[in-house]
Amino acid sequence: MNDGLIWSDPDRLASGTPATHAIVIGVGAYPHLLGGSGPLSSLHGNLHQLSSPPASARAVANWLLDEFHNPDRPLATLRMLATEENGRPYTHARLDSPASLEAPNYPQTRAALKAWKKNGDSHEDNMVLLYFCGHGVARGLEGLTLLLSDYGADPDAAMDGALDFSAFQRGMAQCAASRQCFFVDACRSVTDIAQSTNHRGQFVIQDNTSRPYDSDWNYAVLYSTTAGERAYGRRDKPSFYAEELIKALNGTAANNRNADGLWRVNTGELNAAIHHGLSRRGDQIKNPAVRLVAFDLHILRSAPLVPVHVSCDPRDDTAHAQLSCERNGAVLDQRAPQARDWVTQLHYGAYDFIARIGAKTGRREGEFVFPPYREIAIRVNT
Amino acid sequence: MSTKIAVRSLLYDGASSRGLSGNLYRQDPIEGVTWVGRITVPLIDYSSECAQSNSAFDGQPDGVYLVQINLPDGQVRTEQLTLQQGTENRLLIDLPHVGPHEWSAYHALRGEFSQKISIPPAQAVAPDSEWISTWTSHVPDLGLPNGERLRRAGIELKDRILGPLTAGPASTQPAVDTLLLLNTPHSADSSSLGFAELAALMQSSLTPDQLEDALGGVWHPITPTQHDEGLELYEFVNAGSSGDGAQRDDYLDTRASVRRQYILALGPSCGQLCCLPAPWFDSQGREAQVQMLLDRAAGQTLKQAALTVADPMINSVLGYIEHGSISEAARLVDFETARSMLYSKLANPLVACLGAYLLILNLDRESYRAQANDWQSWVRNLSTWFPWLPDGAILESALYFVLGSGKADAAYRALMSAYERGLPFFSFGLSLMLEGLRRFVSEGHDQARQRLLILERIAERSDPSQNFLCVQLSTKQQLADPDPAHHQVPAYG
Repeated sequence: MNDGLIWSDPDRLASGTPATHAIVIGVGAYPHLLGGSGPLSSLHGNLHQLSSPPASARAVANWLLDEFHNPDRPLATLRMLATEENGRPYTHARLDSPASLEAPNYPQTRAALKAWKKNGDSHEDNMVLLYFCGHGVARGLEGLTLLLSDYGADPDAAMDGALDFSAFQRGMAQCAASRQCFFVDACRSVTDIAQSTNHRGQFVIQDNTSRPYDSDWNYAVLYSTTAGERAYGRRDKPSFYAEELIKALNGTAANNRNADGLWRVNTGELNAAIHHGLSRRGDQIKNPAVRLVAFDLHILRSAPLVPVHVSCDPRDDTAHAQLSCERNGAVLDQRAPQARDWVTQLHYGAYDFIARIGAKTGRREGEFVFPPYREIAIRVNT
Repeated sequence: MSTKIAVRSLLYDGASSRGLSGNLYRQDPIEGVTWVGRITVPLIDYSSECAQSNSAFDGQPDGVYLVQINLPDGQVRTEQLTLQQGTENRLLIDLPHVGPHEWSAYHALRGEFSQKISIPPAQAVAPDSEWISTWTSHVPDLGLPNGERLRRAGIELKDRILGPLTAGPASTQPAVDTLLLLNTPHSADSSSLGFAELAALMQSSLTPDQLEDALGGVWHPITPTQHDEGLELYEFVNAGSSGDGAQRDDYLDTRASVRRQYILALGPSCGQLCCLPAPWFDSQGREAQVQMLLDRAAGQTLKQAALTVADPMINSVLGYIEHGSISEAARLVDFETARSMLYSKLANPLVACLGAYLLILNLDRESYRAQANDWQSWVRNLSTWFPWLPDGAILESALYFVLGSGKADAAYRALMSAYERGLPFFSFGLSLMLEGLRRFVSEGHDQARQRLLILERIAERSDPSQNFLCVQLSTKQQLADPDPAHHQVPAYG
């Protein structure tokens, strides 16, 4: 059994300096849930096979290898577990060869998480990142169980194939890494699974919040805020959460408050940006009881990419307007008349926005586009 | 020169000098957008012109500035302001009212009725002019009734849109039949709603009909102050339900024993208990009403009840928390605000608790350490001055097990005291109790272990979407999904 490692920076590991260690888990195939290839668990809770988690895991892994930038804690290891119907390996230019992905069952997940924690233990200034996409089962105020691919394999102990995430996360106080970020991309359905047993899943690390290190335990758990499982992902594509997470890391959660002018993403604004992005995707779960320590996670390599919503004022005019975005007279992007707002993405900077209805023109010139997003309404001269 | 800013919304006579939070940027054609500082702005009613001078602009050079306001519903509003020496600059930003009724305005502001509010355009403005960026045209208060005033302002009351108040998984849970209020004669009577009793009730599989008797106390049916065919607004003050004649008491001494109120929602197969956050005083020292909006049309239980406080600042704070902007919430109820609410003549310990909870939710250790002695002193006062308040004792204990301040023995005693005071007002208080008990269990305290088992049972039935503690007592619910569409392979779980 390997520990899910698909990429590492040997020099960084050998240097003993602070680094970031990431693990990405996407559980799509559940043999013992509805539609699965194995015997159906009696505790299936009406949960089905999923197509989005493997795609989400790949998208997040790609982002980590392509974009993640933290000069104080560069990426040193990346682990990935995912199941897909066709067993496609993971490829990336930074990998020497395609990586075969191990199934995220409990034994494999346990091995990967323990190896990930061990990497985290190498330095108190380390940062550890965990991304999970798959089924989650909520337990009221604080409990969350993440279902792994062997959930239900043992008919007498279905939860042997699940992770008690809440206990695991508390147990991470025992990990030396003083910065810990958990991205939980699970819809947190309340099902009868949670109510039919007191077993909350495996814990991997003993539940213990007494930290045996001098450093502070800075952690942030960023849950998905979408409700239900029907509308929040698309077949074989990354989940909305994964998309909004990446969008936030690439710009919508960025700030340039420091005098050095760099664009940083911290956990607090990342959480808010994901919430905001998902609110435009559908219903949201309110999530008041989440505790979050704010710390810088990522520094953008280039100017942030910012969503811009362009419309006419009054809005009814939008359906008749040719909309364009220009800089120094050059058209950068444009859209033919449509009833809906024009939603585009632009890098941070100043732009001219123009709306043309027949011979009439409206302009918003020199408008700065900066995070988290801009809404530009153009009044066309009448 | 002064720069005055305010954001206006439908608030009737409500107002707060710290209503919303955001950021101020300077826009430079060459340097781009540079951050100037954090900003808090007043939130006032549409009828008001009371923009307040904003110190964030003090000493800033002439130029173009961008004011980025974070709204309680998660949206961001960006407006441009040109600063010019020797002139008074004024910015009034009107937020659209989205919702079926004027009486649900506080809930609307928090985004209960819309997933996306369309933002009106900013208008170019000359310095020294009255700059009013409005959703529609602005009409000053003419002493008209609120509905008329709103109509004249051109603001449409939109049809109810976009489904239930609190989004959640599709459910077959039946509607609430009855809402009952328990108003304890004094706080000691809340012992009838202690943790052990509640946990026992949960295990006894009582029908909702049996819950009322089993809980003890005298429960009264309550009357909404406003309603339509689906929505009902209930309002509460410390004396009870406003719909049943209870009056505000602006002179209530919160250091004495106060009444605690609980709502019991009963349906054919549901029973839920909700802690009401009263007494609550706004920043002007008046008793604020606690508002509960219940969507019977959604066919849901109290999960679909949205609770807020008719105080613009607190309403914004609760919205920020629900939408993931905890740091914005902590900015509005910061240490100084929380402390002043505690030490004011009419102490508001619930706001003080909220401020302390926000410190822990959005843990900024450096900020805490800079004022650690002050924090310890006033949190201890919060715990000892208000013996009816579990949250104060929870926070006193949390100083030790979250922030590493104080001594273990004192923290343990405070946590045990919190347990004996009964259900905390805030959901996060229960989470913190669990965290503290686990800590003391790991240090070998047997009583903590026993109490942890009880609290875990209650936490599993507590609604994580509510800021104020709401516990499901009856388990006779069917959660199977009858929708055939659900039986296709979903992309995401």
